[in-house]
Amino acid sequence: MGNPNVGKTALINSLTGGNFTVGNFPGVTVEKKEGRALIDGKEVVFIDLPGVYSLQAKSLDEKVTRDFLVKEKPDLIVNVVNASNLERNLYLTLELTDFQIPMILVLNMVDMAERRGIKIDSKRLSEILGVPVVECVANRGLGIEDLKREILKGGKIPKRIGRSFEEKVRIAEKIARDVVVVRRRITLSETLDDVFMDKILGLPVFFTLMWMMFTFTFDVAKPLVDLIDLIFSNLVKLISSNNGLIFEVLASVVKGVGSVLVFLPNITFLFVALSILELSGYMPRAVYLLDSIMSKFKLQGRSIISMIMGFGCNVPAVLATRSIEDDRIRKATVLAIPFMSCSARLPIYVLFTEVFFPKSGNLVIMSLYLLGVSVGLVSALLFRTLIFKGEAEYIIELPHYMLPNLREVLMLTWNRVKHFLEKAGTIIVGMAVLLWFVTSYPSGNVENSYAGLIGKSIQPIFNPMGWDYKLVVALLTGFVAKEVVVETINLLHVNVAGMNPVQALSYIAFASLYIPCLATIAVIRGEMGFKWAIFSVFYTFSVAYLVSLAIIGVGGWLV
Amino acid sequence: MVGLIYGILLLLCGILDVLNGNYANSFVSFTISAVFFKGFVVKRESYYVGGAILAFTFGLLSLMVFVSTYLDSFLNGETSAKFSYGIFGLLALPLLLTVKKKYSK
Repeated sequence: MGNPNVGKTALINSLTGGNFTVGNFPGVTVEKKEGRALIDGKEVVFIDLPGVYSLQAKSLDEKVTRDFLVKEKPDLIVNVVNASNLERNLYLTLELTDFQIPMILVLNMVDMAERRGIKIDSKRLSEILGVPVVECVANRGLGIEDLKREILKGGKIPKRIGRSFEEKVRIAEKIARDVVVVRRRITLSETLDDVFMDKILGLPVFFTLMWMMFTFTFDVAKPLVDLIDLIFSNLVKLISSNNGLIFEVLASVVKGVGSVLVFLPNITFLFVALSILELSGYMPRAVYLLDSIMSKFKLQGRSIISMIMGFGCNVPAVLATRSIEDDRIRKATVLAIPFMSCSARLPIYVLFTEVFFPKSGNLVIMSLYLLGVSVGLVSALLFRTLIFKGEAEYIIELPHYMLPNLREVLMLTWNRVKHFLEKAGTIIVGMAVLLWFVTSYPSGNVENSYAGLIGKSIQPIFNPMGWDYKLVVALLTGFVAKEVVVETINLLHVNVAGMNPVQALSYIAFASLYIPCLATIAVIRGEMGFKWAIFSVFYTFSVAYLVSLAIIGVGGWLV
Repeated sequence: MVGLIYGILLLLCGILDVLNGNYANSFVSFTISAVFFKGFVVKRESYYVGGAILAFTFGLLSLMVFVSTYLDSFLNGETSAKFSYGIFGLLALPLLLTVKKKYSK
């Protein structure tokens, strides 16, 4: 355990050979996770706890950490500290001494500290605290063998240092003064902040990076998308050339899964770009840059981190709000997260933009992401003004810039893509079979099938938008998982090109904002209760409906 | 002086992209050009470092877009590709390597 963003997860990955998600911003770990390793034939179980600055149990993750120490009583605490920022990290270390549990202190990122001209006398530090001190560079695996040896020895019970908060802060300062030697150097990290945090250029640079990310996602991935499409189309043709119920269902499944998997390159490329931005340490800078905007919406920097995580998947993003200390801000953030365009919505955007906006697809997709963020922020302001009222302060920590390590980028990307693939192999397959059934029975044609009957009965709600009943069925099935929207459109043979561009834009805007998927609703229920989960469903639906209606209105007036 | 040269180069790329109707890419080139110009005006190397990273990344991305859109059109039986003058951002590589060498000492 340790402060946020000190490399705890990277250390556990090095010790266990695991692949827990790492990042270069605070709040990556929001729940305790378990990893196992065999050290000299002995099985050691490691628990990765959320990063905390103290154990005062103000935020949910501080509570999780404190409860774990009190209730579970671990055999050993491996306290990870950032060697570049010893003084601040030591406060938590001194709090941990109160528990009188054997401890090892890991000075992580010593390479970075050395580059900044910081040298720590670890022998002296060990004498003061009464516990072994090991120097490490976790993401490069340096010092791991020394740490394993110390773990086998079981650590030592630390000296209990300081009683009150003020006393511990004073002692932490004194210890840091005693053991840290600093020869100040200008680092590349500080150099880069001149540009990335520039008052005037910071925001254009941010939009430049966002634009590059979406160009990478849309344009660079395109040949791979077409290649996968070609493979699945041929596979479906091959299966359809056979007669029989089994082949009919199989063709439906392959077609359904293929219609979703075809967007795998877009999703993978988006995650690669996001992982590079996260691991480089740029994300918290983006948060800082946007802070003046965020504060106008009565949110805080940590809210934006959760919201950015929502671009991957809304479920972990909702869980990540646990690191927000102020409960009112946390709740407002949870309710705003469903508006963030998760990766599952990307296939819908790509499908429609390729047909209607082939030349400016990346611009349209970027606008949809921005629409989600804007609606989310306005909603948050509404919640903070009307429901979760009150002012709040926060501190945001800016980590050092790092050249992302290829292994970590791939691991982070894989952990996210895996989730998408798992859904393709389970929910999407299941939905393909279900969709085949509801579109084939009780009669052979879609129009008179169960799906057709349901779609037609709901369609009048969407009359002002002029969407076909099949598109309404697609939205309905998207409630299970957003990827299913594209799958349904494909399986129902919807002629997307038959819409006009304004209708198409209103449809994708609706799809980007409407009801969160089932899994997200479940976590909202877990975090805020049943009432708020239901509220989220109705609120997002109403907002999506109004926005698409506005697009139809304004678009009809312009065209 | 280096900043001025790269600033002018990226400015030209931006203007050419505007003339080609590629407004978003020209915005990127203009931003990077502004970073170099600011470095030149305030005489701070940090802006050249940031500018070099951004210019090289943009150049690399433009190259990737060119290759992938060419491949994509080839798969569809055509031969066309999306070109952006931002590809000249690759010329920032020598500056990037010089900076990297300096800071890794």
